[in-house]
Amino acid sequence: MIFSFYHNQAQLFKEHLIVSLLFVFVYAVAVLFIFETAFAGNGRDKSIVPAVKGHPLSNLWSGYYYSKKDIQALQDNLGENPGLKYVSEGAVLWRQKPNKTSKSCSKCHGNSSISMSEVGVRYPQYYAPLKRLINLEQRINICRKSYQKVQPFEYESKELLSLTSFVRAQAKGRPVRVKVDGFAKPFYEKGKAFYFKRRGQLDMSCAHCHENNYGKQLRSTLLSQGQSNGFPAYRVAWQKVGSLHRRFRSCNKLVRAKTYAFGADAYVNLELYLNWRGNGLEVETPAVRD
Amino acid sequence: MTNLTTHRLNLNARFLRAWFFVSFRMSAFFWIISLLMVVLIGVSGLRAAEPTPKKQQKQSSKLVEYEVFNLIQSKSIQKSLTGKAGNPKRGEALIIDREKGNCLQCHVIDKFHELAKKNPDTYGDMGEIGPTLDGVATRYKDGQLRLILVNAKLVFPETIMPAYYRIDGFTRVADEYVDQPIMSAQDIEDILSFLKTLK
Repeated sequence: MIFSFYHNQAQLFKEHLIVSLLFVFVYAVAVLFIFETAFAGNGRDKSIVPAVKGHPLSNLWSGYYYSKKDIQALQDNLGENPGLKYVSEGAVLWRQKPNKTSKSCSKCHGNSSISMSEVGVRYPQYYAPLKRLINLEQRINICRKSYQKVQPFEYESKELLSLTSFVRAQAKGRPVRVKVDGFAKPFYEKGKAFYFKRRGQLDMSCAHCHENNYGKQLRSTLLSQGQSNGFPAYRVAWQKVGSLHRRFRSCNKLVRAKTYAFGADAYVNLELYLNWRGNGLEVETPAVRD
Repeated sequence: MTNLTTHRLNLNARFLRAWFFVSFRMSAFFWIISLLMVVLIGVSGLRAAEPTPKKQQKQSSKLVEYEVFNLIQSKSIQKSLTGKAGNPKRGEALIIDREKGNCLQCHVIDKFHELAKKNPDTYGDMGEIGPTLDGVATRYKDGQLRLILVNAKLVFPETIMPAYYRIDGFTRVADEYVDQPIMSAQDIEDILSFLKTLK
């Protein structure tokens, strides 16, 4: 600009104007970028504002936020996260043939980081052949039964947990976005009813702790929003990775209520509703929680 | 465009005057823009800093602060469930007991803070979900307290507090707890007699 060769003032002005407009544009892009990163949040130690109107929570916080510092560190440290053992075992199962005659998962689905990148964010979803809602575990077992022609895994078995962790970990960092319209709508409504229904001898609903009292101390535990974005998660209380349904069961036991079986329809509906409450939070599988 | 063949550094006085004039003006323009951007970035940063859920934002208002006391005059259980007064010593033990009353799960009693330092396993951390129990005997009459213990939902319909002396109207109670209240009538009276000492 200093060695500008233009002779007349008008040309010079025009040049300055163009360059300054360019700078303004660059600044604007930078500011937009900052705004975006500031408001998108990573859903872990920051909150995000739910996209839907009429959402029961004003801000969404991952369970990570309510965990103690050492547990957060355990999750973040890739060398120490105990859930990663399950993920790597799932990766082995993904490539392995269940028996000589059947195909491996990777045979049909190919590169898991591409084919499974969106699966972890959108399950549970409506499955037309069975006319009901299925979650990721059930989807894997349907695959085993109908395509691999082998015995489905037992719910909460190490194999199923590993494979589920592996598949959902492919969506790590992506925001959860389950669909609750269309065919899923009635299941969503049932899950919602479950969430707000008082149950057990202590006569509490999920909402009493996780909607009305999150962020408060319950003895030495800090109540979270009960978000499901980290599951299957390693729970220190279990010393093991567990499914979301196992978490539901322990919650139900805490209020002295009858539990449902793993994979029960009531729990799958609740899973859908819970994932909807956390729509926008990033998938953290394998998360570590206390 | 000017004639490209005649491009060379032009240093005559008229050009320099024009060049400085324009470039100073433009650089001032740059300064203003960049300051504006810095302010914008600062504001966006401030707006991004979310309040933690534990600390509630204080709203500034010109009104004098006041405290609302919930006066529930009408609902109470006047008569003792056992027909006689309870034992406050036993009541205190029940309040601490995690299997029985477990009141400290949600409520704080100030005098236990000191005891918790010496004996953390028994008292442990106290919850902050319910209101503090200090001064509970001043806030409520005996009959009201008894009703809140027996079935708090008759007083506060939306409360999280369990009904401690009730066996029906529940959903899916686990088999081992069916048809039995969380605490017996004697337990309720003992706890009540301890709560009466918290003035």
